[in-house]
Amino acid sequence: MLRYIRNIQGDKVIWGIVIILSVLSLLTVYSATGSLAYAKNDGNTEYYLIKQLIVVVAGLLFMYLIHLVKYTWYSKGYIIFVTFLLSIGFLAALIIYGLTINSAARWLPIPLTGLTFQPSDLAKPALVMFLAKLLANNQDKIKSLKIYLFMLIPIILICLLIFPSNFSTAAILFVSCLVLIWIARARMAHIGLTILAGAAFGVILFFLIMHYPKAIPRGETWKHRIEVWLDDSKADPEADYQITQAKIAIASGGFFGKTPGKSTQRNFLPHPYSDFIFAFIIEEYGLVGGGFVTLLYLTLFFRIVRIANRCKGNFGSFLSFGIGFLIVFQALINMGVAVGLLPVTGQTLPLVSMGGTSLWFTAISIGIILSVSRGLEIEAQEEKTSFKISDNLYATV
Amino acid sequence: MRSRIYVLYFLSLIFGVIVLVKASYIQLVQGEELREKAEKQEMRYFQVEAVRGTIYSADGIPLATSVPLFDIAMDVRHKVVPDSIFLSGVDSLAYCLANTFRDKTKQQYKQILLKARAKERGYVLLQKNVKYDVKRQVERFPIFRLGKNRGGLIADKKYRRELIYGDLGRRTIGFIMEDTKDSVALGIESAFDQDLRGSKGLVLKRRIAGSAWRPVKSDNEIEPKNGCDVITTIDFRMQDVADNALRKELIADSADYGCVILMEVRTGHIKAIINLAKNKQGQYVEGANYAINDRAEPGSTFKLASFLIALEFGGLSLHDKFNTGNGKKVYYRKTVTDAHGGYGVITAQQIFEKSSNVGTSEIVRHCFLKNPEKFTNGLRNLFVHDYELQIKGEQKPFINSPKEKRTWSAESLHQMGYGYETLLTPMHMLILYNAVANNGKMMRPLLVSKIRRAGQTIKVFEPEVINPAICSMSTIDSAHKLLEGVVSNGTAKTLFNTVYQIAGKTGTAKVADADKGYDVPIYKASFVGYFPADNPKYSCIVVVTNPTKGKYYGGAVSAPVFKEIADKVYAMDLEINKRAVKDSLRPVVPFAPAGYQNELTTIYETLNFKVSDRFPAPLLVRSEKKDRVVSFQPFRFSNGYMPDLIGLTARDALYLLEKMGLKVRLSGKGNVIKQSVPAGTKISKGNLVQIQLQT
Repeated sequence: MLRYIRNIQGDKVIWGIVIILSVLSLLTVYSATGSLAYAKNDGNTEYYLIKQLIVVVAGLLFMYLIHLVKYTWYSKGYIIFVTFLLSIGFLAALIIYGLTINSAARWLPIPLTGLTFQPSDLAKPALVMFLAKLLANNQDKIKSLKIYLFMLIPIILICLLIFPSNFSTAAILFVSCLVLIWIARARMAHIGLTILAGAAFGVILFFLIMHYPKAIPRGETWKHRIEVWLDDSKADPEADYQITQAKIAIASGGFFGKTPGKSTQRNFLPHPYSDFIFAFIIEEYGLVGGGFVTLLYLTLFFRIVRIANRCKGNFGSFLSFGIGFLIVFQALINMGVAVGLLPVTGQTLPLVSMGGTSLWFTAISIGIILSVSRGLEIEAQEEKTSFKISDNLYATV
Repeated sequence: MRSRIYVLYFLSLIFGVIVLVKASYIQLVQGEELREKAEKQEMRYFQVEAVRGTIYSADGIPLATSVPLFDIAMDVRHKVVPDSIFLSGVDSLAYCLANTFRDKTKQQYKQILLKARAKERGYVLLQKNVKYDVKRQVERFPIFRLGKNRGGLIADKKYRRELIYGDLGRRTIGFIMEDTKDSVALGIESAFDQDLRGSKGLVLKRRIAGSAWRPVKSDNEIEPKNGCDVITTIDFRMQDVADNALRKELIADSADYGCVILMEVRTGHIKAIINLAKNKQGQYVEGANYAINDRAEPGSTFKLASFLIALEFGGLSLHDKFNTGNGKKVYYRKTVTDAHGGYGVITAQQIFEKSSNVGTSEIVRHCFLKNPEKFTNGLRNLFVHDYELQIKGEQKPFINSPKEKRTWSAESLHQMGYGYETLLTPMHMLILYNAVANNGKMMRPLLVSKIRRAGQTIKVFEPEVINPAICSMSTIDSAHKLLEGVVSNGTAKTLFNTVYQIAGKTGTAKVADADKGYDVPIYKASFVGYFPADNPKYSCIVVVTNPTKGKYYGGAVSAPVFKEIADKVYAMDLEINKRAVKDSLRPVVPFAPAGYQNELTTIYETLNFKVSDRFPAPLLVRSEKKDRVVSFQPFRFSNGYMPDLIGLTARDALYLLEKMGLKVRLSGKGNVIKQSVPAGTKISKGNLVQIQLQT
């Protein structure tokens, strides 16, 4: 056991944050699923706690195993290509599956296991890996329009495949990729044009949603959500119910919260253990708790930025930054939704929300970042020793 | 690169701060109002009714089932139905409502809706107890068709129990009325309530306004578990037959009430159970469950029991002779009379056949005068059991005995011989006769044979033996002779027929009126027996109480009801009719020239024909018969051309033609002998074809 603990490498602060978030995940899921467990499992309130415990422990194990792999292995062409093709395959399968069950599906059942997973969870890191490779290989030509447009192709392809089932995930992924390209010193003009094009696409989409909601899958849901978010007075009392309940949870939490397990809003919040978990955290742990969680994600981001900046090989830099930004961006959006800054999107709070495969993909992503960080440490070690050797050489001469 | 990353990090930091500022804003600025809201909001778990199981007849017909009904209401608040929708649609909606429900005019409905809207009502009841098909219509009405959220339609579902065949067997199927002050629970519905009921679900709802509650969109829901189905032993057709037969007789006699029980001999399955009583309007409706709770002195049908005990324990033989004199005999203070009097010296067999009270008294005195307890103990062993009927309301049997100090007298012994000083229900009598029919094996009466959940049988009630041998086999043989003699030579000669034999016993009991005692006699005319006598399949009892149109003998009142039921049941029961079917088939071979290969093969093979040349696929074929060998030719036709229909049955011809889109007019019965459009003619959809059939 001790051997394994000694083997834990990479940024220790990130490890600490992940463990704190995992504990928080267990506490909140246990408290928030009380009534769910009561109804679904004959009052066995520990059911979801144990389930989440297994998921979290397995997630940490995945993270540990992934971080032991040398990160340059992830830059191998065939690894990147295979994960990318797998993502496309699963996303296509999801669309076909959606057609067979006659509605846009987000979850793809894994045959024979009874499990389901969201192909977009795989597609997100896969696309970022692909993009990091492209960026690293083309750093010298990054300002050329041709290269820029070439890099847009996989992004648009993946986002379009995610788009029918999950608009917000597609949008978040698209923005994250643009940010990554921007960080990689792409021309501002190119990115500006892409944003303009994206905005135009958005406007057309908005027009379609508002006027022909039936023309696109889930169009009616989106229209409704936008309407509620835009105009409080126009909102149907049923639709802004979620937002109101989240606000009530936040308001009743106060500065120090109601203390863990004392939430009353968990019965009113639609998904206190996933979409609205941040409101739930503020209710039980107060503004202090909410602030602490925000701080954890921002610190996580800071550590990732540090790794990216220190990384000498560009691939590791783009990879850790891209993957890290995806996680933190999603967390910020979840929080923004919970406090009513953004329309309801259904994004979970990474590492905290109840979930199985989704949490594992996040854990794997962090494992990759830690692998980059571990690479840095090893390099630093080697530098030190080589410096010592040269020192000695110098001395003998 | 670094500068861009730090710009981005700075932006994230700002966003994090904004999130916290917004949260603080919610707490500090909007907090008061929101916390007040939190105080007010209320949530409660509501029960979701489970669908009650269906009670089926043995032949799979639903007897009692739950049908969904809807209360149609509307949420007319402005925030639900905007003016643009409401004002343009209210006229046509009111028109549709008035047209469908026909209880209010269009103007009235419109007024109701407008007034409620002015008051911002969240729930305006428009119609109660609307059936499913009507509810579907209502959903398509103007405004309503926009759905629950914008159309304001509220359709609350509930279930009502319905007896699909109305009064038929209502008392045995039973019912449960929980909402009345004195809850009533009867019959199978009551006895199997735990199985039928299922378990309720729970749904979390929150109060939206006043008394309106709405389900919370959450996963915290327990689905209701629907009730099990109960499969009874009742045969729907036999039940129908028994009801008709009894009803006819009750009307003819203007009797107070009557009952019929029909039982399957080998299993104790009750195939029919009917209780009819005259109501205040003079109509006959299912009254109390007389079959199991009308405990009375049975009269002469009881003589079977007396004879069984006398044969078994009293050393009686059917050829023993007794003097019945002139039909009147005084024992102690009471005179025993025979209805048709004066048979002189006759055998025990004749005493039974003629139902002589004097003779039976003589037999009982002869056998048991010294030891009456031997007689009464024997009777008690015959009748007193725990029958464990599957429905409640059963009365326990009473048999007098010298041990009963308060009821036993010097006259008791011979009185009991012909069915007095005992209290038995029709069910008790039938159980005994059924045991005799079943060669001494007494079966527990069964009303329910299976319990099913979602099509899967989860419990089976197997036939149960109460007493494997009520007496020796020689006594049973004698009993069979006695009962067959009643029909061939005795009081029930009207039941004699040549097709199959009935065995049974008539009974005419003079019973005490509840108010006036024995002075104003009330007669219970009964007939109980079984058929076919040589290999009994069914036993049956018919009891008619207080016939008032002159005739009151069991042989005249109840025996005809028995006969009608027995005739019809015999006719419909293929198993006992097998011989008749075989007999009638021998000379006639049905002409089945064309049809589906599989069906034809079955027919011909059953009739011992040899079938040659079978095709692998199920095909429409023509058959050719040579001596006792049948061969098939595939039926050929091509789309767009009229096929040759000659020889096909009406069903197959109709199927073929309608599949081709033709209109068909049939005349006659049997197989096709003529078709108006000749084979091979080009046809197009919608053409009319006339077909003539002949057997």
